[in-house]
Amino acid sequence: MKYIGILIMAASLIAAGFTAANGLKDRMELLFLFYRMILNMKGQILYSNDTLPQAMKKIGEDYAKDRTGISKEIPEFFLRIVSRLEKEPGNPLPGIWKAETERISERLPLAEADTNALLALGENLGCADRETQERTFLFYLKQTEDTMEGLKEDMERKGRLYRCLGMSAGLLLMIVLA
Amino acid sequence: MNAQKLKAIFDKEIESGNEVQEIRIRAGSPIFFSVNGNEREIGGANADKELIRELLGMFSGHSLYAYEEEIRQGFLTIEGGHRVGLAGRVVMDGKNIKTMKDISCLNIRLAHEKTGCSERLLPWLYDAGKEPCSTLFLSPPGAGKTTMLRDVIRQISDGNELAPGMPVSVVDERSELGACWRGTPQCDLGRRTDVMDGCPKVLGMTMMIRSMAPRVLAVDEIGTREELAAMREVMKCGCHILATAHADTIEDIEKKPVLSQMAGEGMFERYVVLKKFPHPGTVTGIYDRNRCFLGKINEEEAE
Repeated sequence: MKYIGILIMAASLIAAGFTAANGLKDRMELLFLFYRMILNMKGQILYSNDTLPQAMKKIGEDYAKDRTGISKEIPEFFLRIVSRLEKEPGNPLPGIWKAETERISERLPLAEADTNALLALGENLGCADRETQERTFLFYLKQTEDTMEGLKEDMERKGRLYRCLGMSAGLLLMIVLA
Repeated sequence: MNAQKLKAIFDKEIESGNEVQEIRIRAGSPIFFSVNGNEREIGGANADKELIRELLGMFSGHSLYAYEEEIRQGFLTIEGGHRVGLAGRVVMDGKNIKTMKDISCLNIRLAHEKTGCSERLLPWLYDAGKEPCSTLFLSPPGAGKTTMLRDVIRQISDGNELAPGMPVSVVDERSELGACWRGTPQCDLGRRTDVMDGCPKVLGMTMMIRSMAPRVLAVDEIGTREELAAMREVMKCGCHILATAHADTIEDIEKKPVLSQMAGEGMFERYVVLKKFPHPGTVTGIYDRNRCFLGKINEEEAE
């Protein structure tokens, strides 16, 4: 019985290490998904001259297909904004965007910097000329590229570290308690 | 005052069976409705910039950038084909208008179709071979020339007692004829009508001739030399033209160099002059290619 308990505790520590490493991977996946969707939205707006609800609906629906789990949250974020714009016509887009960004940031493994970048993007959507609109998108995309670059390094460095720490702590616990 | 309250007032007017023609909103001033031809001031709070911002957000789908070109021209066309005129501070780029900012005045003009308003005019607009005559509609602003042209397009496209339907192309530079919203005409222009929306007339006429092979081509508010050249090309292809221009009387054509040249070349086989009184769309004269009076629509008979 004692050995079973020790094994469970060691396995928990190892799993914690892997979970921490996976958290970085999930964040990377989410940021990459945001990056792709905003890039597509920029194309829809600048090439097809779509309005924001049109572009968000199209991209949201396209990306929601065949997605499950947390990666489905992001297309649904876009679709929720579109739905609220239809139901609350007097409510300005930046306000709805802010509320929905805060909502997903509580549910997804996003860092504060990721949330702030999304909030800044929302503040400048819709009310400017096409040139400013393009610059707003480009600024967000550049910012996200830099974050992903840093995160990639972190994943290589910290990911391995978290896994090793988890395994070492698990083994140490086994040795000490056994 | 906010957009929801304004909508409630508007809905009440419509439910009462009133015909709202215009809503004028100016920051810091009362809101005026034009109902059944009379102006009515809306009591309560004045309009403010917040209301205008809110309305612009709604009208543009929260995407003012998508209406950059329209804003430059001073109007937006919204769902239902209604026209929102804008006034504010203009930003210039050399001699051209770059954009308009600090928009403080809106004039919401509600689209009204007068289906069948051209019925009594129609017999004058076909020749003996049942071919439609190239026609120029002349009137001062607000006298119903666009409404009349719209109904003529519909009648020619759908067909009528005088002739079968035929393909019509419309180059709708200012989205007034078809009142297109997201590319779909909100007004009935007939079953055989193709609409090129938001396209400069000169480019659109050539494109339509090449791509849609129309028998009749319609444009609104002509008057430049480039348009004259494009119309010559259209007519060389055997296509008939329906067009409108600003003028009070048939004699005014002589005061406008381009219109005068068009008339001199015999481009139009009919001229239709409209007046605002006793009501918009009153036909006061129909003229032939040589601007000889052919007749007018007797209003008493029409009623």
